[in-house]
Amino acid sequence: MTLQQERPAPAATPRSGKRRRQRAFSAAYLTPSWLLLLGIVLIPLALGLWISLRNGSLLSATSEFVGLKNYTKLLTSSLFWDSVKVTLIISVLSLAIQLPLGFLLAVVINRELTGTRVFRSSLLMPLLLTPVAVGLMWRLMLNVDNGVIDGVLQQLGLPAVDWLGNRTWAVISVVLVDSWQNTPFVMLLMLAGLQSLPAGPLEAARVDGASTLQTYRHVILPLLAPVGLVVVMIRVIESVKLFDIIYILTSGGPGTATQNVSLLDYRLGFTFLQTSQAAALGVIIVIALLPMYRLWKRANEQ
Amino acid sequence: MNRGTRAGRIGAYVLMVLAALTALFPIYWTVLTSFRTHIEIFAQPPKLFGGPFTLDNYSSVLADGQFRASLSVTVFVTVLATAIALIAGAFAAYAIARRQSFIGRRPFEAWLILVRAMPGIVLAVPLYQVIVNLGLYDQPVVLAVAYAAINLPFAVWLMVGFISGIPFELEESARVDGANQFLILWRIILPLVAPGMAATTIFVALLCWNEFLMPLVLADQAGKTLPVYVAGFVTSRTIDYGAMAAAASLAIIPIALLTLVVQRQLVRGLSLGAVKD
Amino acid sequence: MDRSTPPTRRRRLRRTSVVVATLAASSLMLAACASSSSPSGGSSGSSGGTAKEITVFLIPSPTEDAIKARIPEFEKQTGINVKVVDAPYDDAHQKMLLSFQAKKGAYDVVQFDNPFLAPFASQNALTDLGPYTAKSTPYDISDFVQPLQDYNKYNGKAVALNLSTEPFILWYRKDIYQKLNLTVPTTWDQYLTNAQKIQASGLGSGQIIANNSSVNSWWWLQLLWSYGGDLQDASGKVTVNTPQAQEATDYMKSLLAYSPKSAITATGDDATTLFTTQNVGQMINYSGYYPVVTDPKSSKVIATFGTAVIPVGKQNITELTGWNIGIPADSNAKDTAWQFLEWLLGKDNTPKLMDAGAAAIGRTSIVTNTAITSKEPYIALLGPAAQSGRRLPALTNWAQVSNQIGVAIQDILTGKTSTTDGLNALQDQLTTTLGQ
Repeated sequence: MTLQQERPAPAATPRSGKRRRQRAFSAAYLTPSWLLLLGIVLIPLALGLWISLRNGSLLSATSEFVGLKNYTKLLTSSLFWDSVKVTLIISVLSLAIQLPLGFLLAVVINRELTGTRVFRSSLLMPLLLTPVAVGLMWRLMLNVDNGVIDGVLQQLGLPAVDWLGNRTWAVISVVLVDSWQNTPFVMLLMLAGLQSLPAGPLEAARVDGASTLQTYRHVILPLLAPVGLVVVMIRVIESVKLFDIIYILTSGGPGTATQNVSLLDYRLGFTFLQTSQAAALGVIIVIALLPMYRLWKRANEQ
Repeated sequence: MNRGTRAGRIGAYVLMVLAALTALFPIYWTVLTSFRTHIEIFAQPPKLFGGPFTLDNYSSVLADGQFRASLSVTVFVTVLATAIALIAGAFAAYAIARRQSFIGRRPFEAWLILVRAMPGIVLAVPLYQVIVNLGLYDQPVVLAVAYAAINLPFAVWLMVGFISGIPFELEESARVDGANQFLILWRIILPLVAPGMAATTIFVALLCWNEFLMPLVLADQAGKTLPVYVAGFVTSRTIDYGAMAAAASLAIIPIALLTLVVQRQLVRGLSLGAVKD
Repeated sequence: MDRSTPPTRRRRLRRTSVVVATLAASSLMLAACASSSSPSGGSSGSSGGTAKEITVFLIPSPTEDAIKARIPEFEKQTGINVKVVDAPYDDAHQKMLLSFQAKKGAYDVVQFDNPFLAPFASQNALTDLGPYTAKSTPYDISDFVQPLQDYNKYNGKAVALNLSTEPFILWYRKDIYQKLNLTVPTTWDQYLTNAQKIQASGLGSGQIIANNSSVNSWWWLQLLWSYGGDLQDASGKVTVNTPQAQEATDYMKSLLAYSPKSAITATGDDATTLFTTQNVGQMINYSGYYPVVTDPKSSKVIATFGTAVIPVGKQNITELTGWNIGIPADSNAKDTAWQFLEWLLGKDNTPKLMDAGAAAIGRTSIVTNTAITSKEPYIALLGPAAQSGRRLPALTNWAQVSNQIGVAIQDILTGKTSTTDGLNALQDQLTTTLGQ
C-alpha cells in the first residue's frame, strides 16, 4: 500500500497556466463521484437536515418548523448520553482488540511460513457472512440455555455465562462479535502495508544489528503509520455506526445496555416514528465524526 | 523473509491456528445448523459434531423461487455497484493521490467521511421519499447506484493508498515520451495498481453484498437482496434457524468465489510499493 | 529494478479481468432473465392496483404462508392477479407508514399488527370498511362478538378486519402436571405455585413468559390488568406506579426464579422455542403459536401439551392480540381489494384459510364448530377469551410507550432498579410521552 516516502511532490512548473489547467483537470476527475454523491447522498442529506429543524414524524403528513428544538432535546436527554457512553465503551474495547490483534496477525502471516495461505483464507471468512446471519448465529451460540458456547464451557467444568442477558456480558458479547467479524479487515490492510514496505530501511536496520522489536518500533511502525491511520479512521467510523450486529444480537438490550447511538437513531426513527429527532441525531453523529478528517489528512500528508 | 527463531515460529503457528479456529467456528456452526432440524438445533446439551442430519432446509430454500430471485438480484446489484464505485472512485483517488490541491478536493474528502459517518436511517428515509416521488422505487439499478454512492468513500480511501504507492517518475517518463493523461492512467497506472484494485474490489463488493438497510427501505420484492431475504426467516412466530443457515451458507458461496479468485492478486501485488533505492 | 509489468503479472491481470467480466455479464443476463419472467407491473415504481391486479403487503408469519397458499385459487376464480410483497415485522409497519405518506397507492391490502392500527388510522391512512362489511353476506360481520369487532375500530370506525384472533392462553405440559399432580391454575397465585413445584422437581423449568424489552410490555400489561390496574385511568392520567402496578410487577419478577435462564431476554417466539424444545412446564403466550407448537419439525411436545384460558386476577381480562388486515386509503383499487378480502376471509372460506396454516380467526361460527374444535381444542378457548378480550391501548405512539415500558421493566427485572423506583421513573416518562 502507500509508502509516502516514495511520493515526490508534483512537478512544480514555472508556468501557472499549466498548473491551473492541471488543477481544473484534477477537479474534473472527481465529477463522476460528485454526480454519484449528488444524486444519492447530498439531496437526501439536505432533506434530512431540513427535517431535523421541524417536528416531522411518521405519524403525521405535515410538520412545522421548530428550529433547534430537536437538537436541544437530544443533547439534554439521558437516553442520548447513555447511548454515547455505550458507543464509547463498545468502540474503545473493539478497537483495543481489533487493531493490535489485526496487526499481530498481519505480522505473523507476513512471515509466510508454510500453510500461510490456508490461514489467510480462513481468516477472511468472517467478513463474508451476511450480517443478519452473523447476528442470528451468534445469538444462537451465545444462548445461555442451549447455546454451544455455554455448552462447551459447562463441559469444561466452567459456569455458564449469561452472554446476552447480563448487562455487562452483553456489551462484551457485542464487542466480541464485532471483533470477530472485523479483525480480518484490519489484518488484511495491515498485511498490505507490511508487504509494501521498502526493503531499504529494513536492510539498513538489519545491517545495523537492530533486534526485531527495535526494528518494529523504530522502522516498521512509523512506515506503517499512513496505513494504520486510515485503518483507525475506518474502524472508528464503522464502530460508532455499528448497527446490524447489535440489533440482531441484543436489540440494544438488556434494557439499553447495548444501545449505541446508531441503535438509538433507529429507535427514534423507526420505533418511535420520530423522523425529525432521528435526523437531528444523525446530524449530531456526523458532526461528532468529522474530526476523523484529520486522521485522513495526516495519513496523506506524511 | 525473516524466518525467526524456532520458538517464534511455534508461537506464530499457535496464533494462526487459534485465529483460524475462532474465525471458522461460527461458519462451521452455520453450516452445521443448516443440516439440522429445528429440534436438533435446540438440543440440550448442544452437540459439537454429528447428530441426525437433514437436507430439508436446503431443499426448501433451493425450491424457493424467492431465493433464486434474491441471489440473482444481489449478484447483479453487487457487480454493478462495485463497478460504478470503482470507476468513479479510481478517478477521484488518482486525483487525490497525485495532486496536492485542486478545486473541490477538501470538500470532497470531507463529504466522503460524512457519507460513511451518517447512520443508515438518516439517509434511508429522505432517500425513500425522493425515490418514490421520482417513481424509482423497487428497482435494482437504483439500488446499485445507491450502494455505489455509500461505498464510494471506502473505494476512494483504499485506492488513494494504492495509487500513492506508485512512484511518480513512472508517469513523468511516460508523459515525457508523449503519452496523454488518459493513456497513462489506462496502460501504466491501472496494471500496476491492479492488485490494489483487487483488494478494493473485494471490500467494496463485500459491503454491497451484505448491505441490508437500503434494499429493505428502497425496495419490495424486485430488489429483495439476500440479506433481506435471510432476514425474512425471522417471522412473527418463529425463527427458522435451519433454513436461515442454509440460505446464509449458500449466500457465502458467490462472494467467497470472488474473494478466492481475486485474492491471489491481492498479496502478490500488495508488495508493489516495495522499491529498492 | 525493472519497472515494466512482468509477463506473468500481465497474464494474471488479464485472467482476472476476464473472470470479472464474465461474472458481470452472466449476472446481468441472470438478472435480465429473472426480471423478464416475473409478472409484469412489478418493478415500475409505484405498482399500485387496478381492477385486474392488486398488491398485498404481508408480514412473514404462518398466516402469510397460508394466504399465499390460497391466492392461486382466487386468481383462478376471478382472473385478478395478486402480487405479494413482504418485509420483516420490525420494519414492515414503518414501510407502510412511509408508503401511506407518499400516497402513491403502492399497496392495496396491508397485513399489520393491531398496535399500529391507531398510528395508521389517525392519519386517515386506512379505508373505512364499515360500508363494505355492512352489506356483505359472505363476510357476515355479525359472526364476530363485540370485542372482536371493536378490535378493528378507531374513533368508532372499523378500518380493518380481523385477520387472526390470538389471545393470551395458558400452555402447559400435561405429562409434567400429571407426574406432579398439578391442576390447571385458575388464579395467578396457583400459576406461581405450580411453577415453583415444577422447578423444584427437576422435571424442567416452572414457566416461561417473554421478558425481552421489545415485547415484555404486552405481558406486563396483561398482568397489570389482571391485578386491577391499567396504563391510564379514565381521565387519561398515567397510572403505572399504583399499588396494583407494583403488585403486578413484583409478580412478574417473581416468575424469573422459576424460568429458564435465558428467560430474561426471551421474546414471544423464544419462549415458544423453549417450550417446544426444552422442558418447560407452563407458558403464557398467544394462541397464534399453535402451528409452531404442533409442527413435528420444530416441536417435541406435540403429544404432551395442553391449553387452557389464562389465570384470572382481580379482573377477568384477557389480552387480545392478532393481525389486522385493511385497505390503505391511497389504494387505487379498493373495490378489487375488498373483493379479495371478502373472498379470503368470508365465513365459509375462513376454515380453508385456517387449514392452510393460518392462525385461527375467532368467528363465533368457528369457535363453536365442534368439527374444528374437536380436532384442535384450543380453538374453543378463543370464544371465552374473546368475550373477556381487550386489545392493547389504541395509542398512536404505542411503539414508543411499549419501548419505554419494556426498558423500564427489564431494568426492574435485571435488578438495575427497584420496583418502586423503576415504576416511578416510568410514570414520569410516560406522563411526558402521553401528554403530548
